[in-house]
Amino acid sequence: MDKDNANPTILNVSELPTRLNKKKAAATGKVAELEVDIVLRRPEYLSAPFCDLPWASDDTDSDDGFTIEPIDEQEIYDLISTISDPEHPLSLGQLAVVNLPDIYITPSPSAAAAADPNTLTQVLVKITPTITHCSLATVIGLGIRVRLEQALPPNYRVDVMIKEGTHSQDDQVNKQLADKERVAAALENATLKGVLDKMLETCT
Amino acid sequence: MAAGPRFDELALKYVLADGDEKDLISEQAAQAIEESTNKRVTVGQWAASVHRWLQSSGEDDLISRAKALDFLASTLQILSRRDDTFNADQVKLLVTFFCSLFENDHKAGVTASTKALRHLIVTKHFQPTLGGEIIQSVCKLGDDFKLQAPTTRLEIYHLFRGLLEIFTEAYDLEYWQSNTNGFILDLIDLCRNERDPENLMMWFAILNAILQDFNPSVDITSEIFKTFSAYFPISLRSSATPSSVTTDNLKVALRSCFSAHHRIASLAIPFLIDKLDKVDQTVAVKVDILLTLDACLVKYDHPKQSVVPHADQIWGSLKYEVRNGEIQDIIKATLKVLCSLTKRLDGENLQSFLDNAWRDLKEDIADSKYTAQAGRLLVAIVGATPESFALLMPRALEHIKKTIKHNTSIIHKRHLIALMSSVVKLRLHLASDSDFNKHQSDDGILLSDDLFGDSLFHDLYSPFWEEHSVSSSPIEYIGVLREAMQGLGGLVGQVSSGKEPVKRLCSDSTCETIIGLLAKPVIICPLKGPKYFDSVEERVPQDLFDAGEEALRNAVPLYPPSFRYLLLQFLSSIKDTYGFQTQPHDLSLQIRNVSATLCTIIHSGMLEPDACWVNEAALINTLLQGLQWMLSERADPKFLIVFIDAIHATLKRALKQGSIWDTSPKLTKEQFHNLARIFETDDVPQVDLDRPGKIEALEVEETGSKRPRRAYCLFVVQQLYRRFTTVSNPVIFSGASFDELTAVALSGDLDGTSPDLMAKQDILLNQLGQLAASVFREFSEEEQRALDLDSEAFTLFHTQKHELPWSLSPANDFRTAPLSLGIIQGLWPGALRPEVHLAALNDLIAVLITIPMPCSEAARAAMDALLCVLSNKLDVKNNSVLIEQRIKTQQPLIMKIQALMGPHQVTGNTDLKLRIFRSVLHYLAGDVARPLTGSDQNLLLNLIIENGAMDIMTGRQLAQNLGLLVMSRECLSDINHPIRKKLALGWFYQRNVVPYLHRCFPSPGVDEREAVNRAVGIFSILRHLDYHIYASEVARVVRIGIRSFDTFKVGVETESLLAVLLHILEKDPSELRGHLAALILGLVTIYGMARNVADAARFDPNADGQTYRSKASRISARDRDPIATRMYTLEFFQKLTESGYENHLLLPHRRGLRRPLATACGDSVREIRRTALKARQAWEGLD
Repeated sequence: MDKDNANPTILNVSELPTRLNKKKAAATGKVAELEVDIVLRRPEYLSAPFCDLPWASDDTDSDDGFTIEPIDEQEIYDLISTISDPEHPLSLGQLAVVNLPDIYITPSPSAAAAADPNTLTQVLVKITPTITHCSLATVIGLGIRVRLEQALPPNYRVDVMIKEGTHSQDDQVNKQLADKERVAAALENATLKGVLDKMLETCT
Repeated sequence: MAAGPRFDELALKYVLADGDEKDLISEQAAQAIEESTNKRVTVGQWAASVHRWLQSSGEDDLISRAKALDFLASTLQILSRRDDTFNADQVKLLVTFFCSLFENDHKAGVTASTKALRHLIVTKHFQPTLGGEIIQSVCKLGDDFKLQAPTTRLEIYHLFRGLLEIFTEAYDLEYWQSNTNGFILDLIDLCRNERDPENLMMWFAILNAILQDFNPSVDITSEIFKTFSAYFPISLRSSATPSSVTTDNLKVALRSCFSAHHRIASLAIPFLIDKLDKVDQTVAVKVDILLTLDACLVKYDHPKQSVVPHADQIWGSLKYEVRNGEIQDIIKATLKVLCSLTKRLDGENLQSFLDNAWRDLKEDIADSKYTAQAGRLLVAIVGATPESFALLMPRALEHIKKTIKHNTSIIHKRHLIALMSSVVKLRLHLASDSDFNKHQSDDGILLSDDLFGDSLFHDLYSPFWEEHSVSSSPIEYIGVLREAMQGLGGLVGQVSSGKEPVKRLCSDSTCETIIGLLAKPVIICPLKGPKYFDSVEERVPQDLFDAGEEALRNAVPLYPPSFRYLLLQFLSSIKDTYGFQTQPHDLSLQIRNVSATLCTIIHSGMLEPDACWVNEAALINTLLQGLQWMLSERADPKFLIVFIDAIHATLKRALKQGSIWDTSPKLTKEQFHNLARIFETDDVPQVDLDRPGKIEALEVEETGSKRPRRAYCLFVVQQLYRRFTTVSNPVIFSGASFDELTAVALSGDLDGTSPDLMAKQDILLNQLGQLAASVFREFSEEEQRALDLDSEAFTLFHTQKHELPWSLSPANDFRTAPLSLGIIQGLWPGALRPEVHLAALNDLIAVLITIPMPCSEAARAAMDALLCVLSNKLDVKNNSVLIEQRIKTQQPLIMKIQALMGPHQVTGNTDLKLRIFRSVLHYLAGDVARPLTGSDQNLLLNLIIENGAMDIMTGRQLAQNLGLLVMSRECLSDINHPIRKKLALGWFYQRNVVPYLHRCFPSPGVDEREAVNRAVGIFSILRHLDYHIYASEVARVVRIGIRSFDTFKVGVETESLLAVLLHILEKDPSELRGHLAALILGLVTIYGMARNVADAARFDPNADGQTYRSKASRISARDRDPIATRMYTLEFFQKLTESGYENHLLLPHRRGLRRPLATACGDSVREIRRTALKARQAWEGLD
């Protein structure tokens, strides 16, 4: 099959948006090297379960590394950026089909409301096809939809749209992606299901 | 004569025999020949014995004929070991006979004849002249040679090889050298089509020998070259019968043919160049060609004839491999060839070669597309010999400098400055290379000394740096500066060459300027906080930081005074920034990072151990000075903590290095004190850290041990302890004053009463204690004893002036406890004197069971740990008095527990009661690790286990804490030298868990509360035990667990339960197989409750997101937000799918799990969401 866009622009994996704070990563790298981590850690006898005292150190992270964080745009991005493109051996993140600024969550994520299973939350992902006449935009949109529905809790509603002005037939594609019946029907199609499974294989 | 018929018989036997027997028969024949008196006749008979087989020449008798001939050959093999059996005539006769077989009997005779001849040619009377005859007859095989089995051919090659050796050893070598031409052609004709790898190895060796040892004519040489070059490039096809020869063996063998003799240079070099220039060569082939070419250039004699004529051709072709090359392997191999080539040239040849090369390089250096490649070529050529460096470097340097100055493209500049760095580093390497220096003339002209000193810095680097590091520089300049740093780092290390004593080429002021430039992004900017470039981010860009650090790491060993300079910068930057107080950045964090960087710079691995140690001490001294300064400024404790931590990290590192290098014998107390006196400056009061150590003294002092690291570390700890504590009288003790008591108290640096400040000070004390522990645990038992560390633990090094009691100081609400713990923690049990030990232990117990609590919370934690250490380390050594005293220490605890649990409770305060219980558990934990007293005697343990669960008020909380008895803890880990018995935990389990398993269910005599409490306690314990300990009771444990789903509180209790279940699932999933439905249902409920608890806590208006871990509440954080419980449930669900259960067992539960797992994907904690997603995918993936 001829590829729609045989020569797409590719982003380097290291340039993709990530949660890892480079500054912090660099600092801890050095610290680990020097075994300072052992030194800086609070003494064991002052930690749970030996003792339940607070430790007024500057380190704001909790001891066990678990912090309460809402599902934010970056997390959605991490879920879908690793999906493979149906025609290139690259991820949607690398091809800039999905971009962090094009992910919208309403109501916007905040620590308090995040985990409430009764708050209805809307996730909107706008995708940018690599070329304006990309015939696979619908499949990509479908893949993103399937991935998010499989990964998000039931109180999340997922919408996938083509970003304005990036596709010659964005109306049609948007209509297809928004039509529940057509989405359901598409998932019954064995060939399409195969393509989707292949795309989602690379998700971790 | 009897021997005649015997040979016939033997031959017949041999033909009919198999295997080992044959050797015996040929042995007999050989012996018969040996022993005969008339050798001539005997040999005749022996040879005639095979006559009957030779007569028949039909195809049918092939095998027996071959065997018969083999009889002769193997007899010869044995005889050839004693080489004078045959006289010259006999040898000749035999040779003629066997040679004739090559003509007559191509089928049966070849193998045996070859074998026979191989043995004949090594006999004493073999005439080299016969060799030619042999070769000629063998060559008569003609095309039939190819038809022989590979092994036969191998024999023939061995025969040839043997003959060649005989020729070279023969007295008339010259004759042979000039007369080989004839037979060589025959040989080549015969063997031309060899394909077998093993045979090829031999064939190449033969050709190699001919080229090296004989003198073939030009035509013949060219024939030989054609023969072996046809195999180039050689590879090995995969074969059904793999041989022991690898492709690499073949490559090396063939390569040695190419490089065998310079007489084939004119053929080999153009041939290889031609091959290289062909398009479509694979990487492996190209590398092979280049390696072969390199071997030729290195090995050929008479370079004037062999190498020089081809120099320009080689350059002309190879330069493109680098210039346009992309594959590193090829580029590296090419550069190696060019280096080898340059090494073979001298005088005018070298000059003209370099002129030619420079014409190309000059242009390429000026072209930004090729600068990097041209640089690599340049470095390869100038680095080859001192002459090439001297001839090319001055103009190259001039050209590079000029190009940098007149250039505007950033990329080009970057390549050029990187090239400069390579050149500087190259010279650094060459100047230290002793081989290289051998060739040096006196004046240091060869390494262009005058070009690599101050002038290079002032002409090139200094203006370059100024131009590119101004604040308006664009961000792209970072890359340029990074490259420049590499060169600057190398520049400080440039030393003179030549025979004069080595001296540094850069002046001290230049070196200091350079170090200053390098230190700016690494040390000064992080501390002072100015932006390195205005246009870019707040911090120094990471790239620049890394490059600066690396450059410093290289530069410091090259210019030792630089480290002091860095330390000065470090200290003054801190003082400046702290003075401003408008700290836009976190100064304490930056101090931490920079001191870590300084530590890294010391331990770059390039420093000599001694220099490293001096730098370590200098760094620690600087940190102490920083600490002192902060104290004098009355800075926030967080700054003090940072310095303590930095000192800790450096000391730890120093001790680790010390354990590698410092093999000095144990230090005695006197030695310690003598050494300590060296460090101390007389006029400085002891509590002053400002001028703490004359480390200069260490450099010259001849002390018992060369590098008294441990003594210095001890000295540092002492100084710090003395600085932060003081001896006070009277002591303020919980409001009451004790006039009589003299005790150690916190020094004035740590006064202040605000709880926030005190909490920070407590951290400082704890960190200081940990620092001491890191130092003292490295000491041997003898050293610890010599220093009386057991009593110093309580007097905190104030013994010299005062008589102090050996017990924890009650001053400041026992806040010095962490300092005592720091010392005691790392002591060997033998270093604790019983009199000190018992007194301290009893005293500590008395304090801990006092109501109301006389100590702060933080102090109590340290005291509990101390209690555990003391109870563990009391070494009774079968001494009955000690054993009794040890048991006696339990007495107050037992009485206290009985009082607290009795019907008339002393206090209604469960909180305090629980604290006392916990202290008891800490005490027992020390016991449990070494069950010396035995369970029967351990009344306290029995009391806790037996009665604890029945206590109405605190039974449940006590049960939750039972895990403290067995969990692994740092103060009992091996680094702290505890007393541990191997099977202690198994013993504990059998005595204190198994008997109570049946009481986890309500029954007559066991009420519901006791059953639940027991279950809570048991899971709290099991969680910390290895699976194999409770494996035999696991079925009961699982049943108790399932019952506990309904009775356990979500939080600590469920966490222990789930931890145990996960453990069982991992070790033996079959134990859970029958309970899957109950487990899944129970866990879904637990997860749901855990979510609710967490959500409720978060929506509590009194506790917003930040403070719900509030310390004020006594409900532990884990009960308020059971994160671990949620995590474990989801992990359990995920692992269920990976535990080898058949799908039909799991699938019925999928429906019920879908919704809970989907909901779990919305958990408030990201890590839990991730696990939930994994579990969800795993369950969806079941087919």
